Amino acid sequence: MQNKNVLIVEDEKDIAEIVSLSIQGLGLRTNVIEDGNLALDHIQDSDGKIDLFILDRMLPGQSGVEICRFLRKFKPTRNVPILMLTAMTKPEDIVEGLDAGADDYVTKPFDVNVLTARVKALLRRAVSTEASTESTTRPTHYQIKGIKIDVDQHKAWCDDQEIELTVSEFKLLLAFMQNPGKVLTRNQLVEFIQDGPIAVTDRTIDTHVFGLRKKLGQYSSVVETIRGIGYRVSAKE
Amino acid sequence: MSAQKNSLEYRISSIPLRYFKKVAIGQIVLTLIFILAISLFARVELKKNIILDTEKHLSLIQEYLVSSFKGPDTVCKSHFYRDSKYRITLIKTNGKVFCDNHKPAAQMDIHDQRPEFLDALKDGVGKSIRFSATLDEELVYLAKKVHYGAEEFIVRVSIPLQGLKTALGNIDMVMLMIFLPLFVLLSLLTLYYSTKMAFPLRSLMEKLNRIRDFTPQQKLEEIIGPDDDWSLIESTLIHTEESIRNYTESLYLENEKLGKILRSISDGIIAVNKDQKVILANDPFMNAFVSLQTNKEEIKKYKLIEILRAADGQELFEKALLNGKTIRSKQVITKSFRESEKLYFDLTVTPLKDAKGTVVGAVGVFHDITDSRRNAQIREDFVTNVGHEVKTPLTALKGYFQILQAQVGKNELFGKIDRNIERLSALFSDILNLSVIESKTVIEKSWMDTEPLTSMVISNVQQNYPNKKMNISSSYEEKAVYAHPLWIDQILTNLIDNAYKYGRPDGKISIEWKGNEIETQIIITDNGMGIAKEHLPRLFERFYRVDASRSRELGGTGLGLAIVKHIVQKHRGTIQVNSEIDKGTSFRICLPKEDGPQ
Repeated sequence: MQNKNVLIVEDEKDIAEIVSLSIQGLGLRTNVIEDGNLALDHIQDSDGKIDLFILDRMLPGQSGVEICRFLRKFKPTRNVPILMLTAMTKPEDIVEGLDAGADDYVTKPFDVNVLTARVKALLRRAVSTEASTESTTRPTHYQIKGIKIDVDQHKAWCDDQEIELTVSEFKLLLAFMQNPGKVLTRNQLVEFIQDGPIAVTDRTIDTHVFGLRKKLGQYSSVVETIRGIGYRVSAKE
Repeated sequence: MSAQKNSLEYRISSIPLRYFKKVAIGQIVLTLIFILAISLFARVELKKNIILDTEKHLSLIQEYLVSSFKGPDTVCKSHFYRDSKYRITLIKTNGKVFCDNHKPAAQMDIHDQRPEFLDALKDGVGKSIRFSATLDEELVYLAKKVHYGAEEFIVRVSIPLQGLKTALGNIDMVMLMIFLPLFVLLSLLTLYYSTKMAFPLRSLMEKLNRIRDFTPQQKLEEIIGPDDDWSLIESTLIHTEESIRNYTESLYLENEKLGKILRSISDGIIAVNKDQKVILANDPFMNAFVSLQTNKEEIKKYKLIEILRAADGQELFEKALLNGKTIRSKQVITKSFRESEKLYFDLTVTPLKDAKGTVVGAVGVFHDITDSRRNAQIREDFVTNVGHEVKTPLTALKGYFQILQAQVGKNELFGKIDRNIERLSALFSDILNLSVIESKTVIEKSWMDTEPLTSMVISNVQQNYPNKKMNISSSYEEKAVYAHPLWIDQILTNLIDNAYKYGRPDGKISIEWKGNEIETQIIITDNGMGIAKEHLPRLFERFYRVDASRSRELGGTGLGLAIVKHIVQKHRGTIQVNSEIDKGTSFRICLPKEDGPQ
């Protein structure tokens, strides 16, 4: 966690300072840029030396969503985690940010403790993704709390008790397990389980998650609902 | 058109002639044939009678000659033989003439081929009526075989049918005398009646023709005919013409009135026929979709699809024409013909039906909601901006406070500051929420399964009250609801949150989803402390609190139920509350099932 670089793009000086101060407490190095266009220039110059981006949604120059899209297209930053800061008035705005490639979001007014927790989670996940991309093969086993999943065998367990899942539910659980702590929008989940000509809609996602939760029993609360946006599996132990 | 009219006029003016040709000539010819037939019959009968009389006369003479036959001389020398009125011939069986009183026997040719001779030779008697070239007259011949010893003779007597010619001449004269006047009289009568029929018929047709091309400005001259059957028809026609004129005038006035109404309505109106061809469009419609310069008649050349540049509006027309049902209030967006601006309409399409109920067209009413939408958008933007502006200092306040807390360490005042910051942000968030809900004119609904929806809300609310173990029961008679996904979530969250907030630590909450054809019902009941009756009417008012201090203490903003009410109203639903002190409270929400997609 030490010596990691965080780029904060936020036009409100006070907010930028608070974010900066609170994550400096984690031992991270921070850099604040107040303008979207300047941020893009900086990203291109820095050449992959940034480990996390914290973006405000409304910015002068380029908006946070546009920066997000760029980061996902730009090779050196393709896998770098992005946290969006947003004054949540419309869920559509948050969904737009997540669909553009953000990994998580924090709404204003935010709790400093929540912010630091999210930052920690994102950096931890980035490390594990890095490790897995280095070994070039994706892992076939995932575990969160008592839930285990085996991709090859197409089986899932709750506290060593095998659970029967439908194809869609299995795909859904796999998506959650592969992205712990990341908010997955309904659109992203639809893409995940979309298979063949049957159109999957937002409504079917809700139904599948509902079914999945029932089968997870005591771990049902692992799958968090984020109103109007989507779902997240909390990575916290 | 004019050629047709000419031919029609010609046909009317030629009525008497054609009538004469068809009716009168037919009658006259028929009479003539009848008269000729009678004359012919009379002549034939007369001829038959004369011949019969002559034959009788002849046979008497022949009988005498035959009975007194004693050799050829008894014939050739009888007094009849000398009377030149009769022609008497005695013929040998070989056909040779023995004697003849009109011509010397030597000059006579062989008579063996005469039919009366052949008959007599064979059967004993023979008869024939022939034209004699010798006498230039028609003659009756009678022949009979007689025996004289071994010899056989044929006695032939004949007499010219002298009276026949005169008799026939006489009868022709009589016929002419009787039938000619009769024929003339009949023809004249026929002509008279045919003209009497044909000319009024022509004038009748002329009048009918004029009524056909009738315009309210004209007036037909009154023609009162003679007091006969035609006058009744004519007076009926005149009467009909008057009522048609009155009817046409009232139609004209009605049309004018409707036209004025149509022009004065600010909504765009267009009517199309079954093939979606434009029948009518008023000025506001033209203004929005075509251009005021386009001629009102010109627009009738177009089909709806060529004018209406909005696929969803087009679809509505197609549906109405197909189903014959009125389809209301669907938001239609179109680019104005001025291209630059977008226009928004509420469109209502009503099918036009004929007396039998068959759909013959449709009328669309376009209510312009562009301005109200623009206002709503401005308001929404304002709310968003206010939200952003307020949240920034609030975030800073909260953030700095938390950093300060971490640096300074524990202080009991920090908890109070924190709670107030939380309340302030909750209050702002609720106020903004309410503003957004109020400003929406159109809400985007979608289908939601009730069970996952409710269970998610329950688990979310539960997380906020870790110290309360509520007994929650839920039933789902209604499997799905058509509503705004976030707002329905908000309703459930606020009501269940209230039930938690004001409920006993071990209280009960029941959530029931019910439904019928008309509405979806959500009933949320708790066994909490209840609400006194006097508070119920004002319960949904903003910032109305039953127990202000307690509510604040529990973190209430005073807006939760106001938000619920507004959301329900935006869904055109109703909310009821029943409560009894110490027994509990029950909220019943009814959401109408409108024409949502299945």
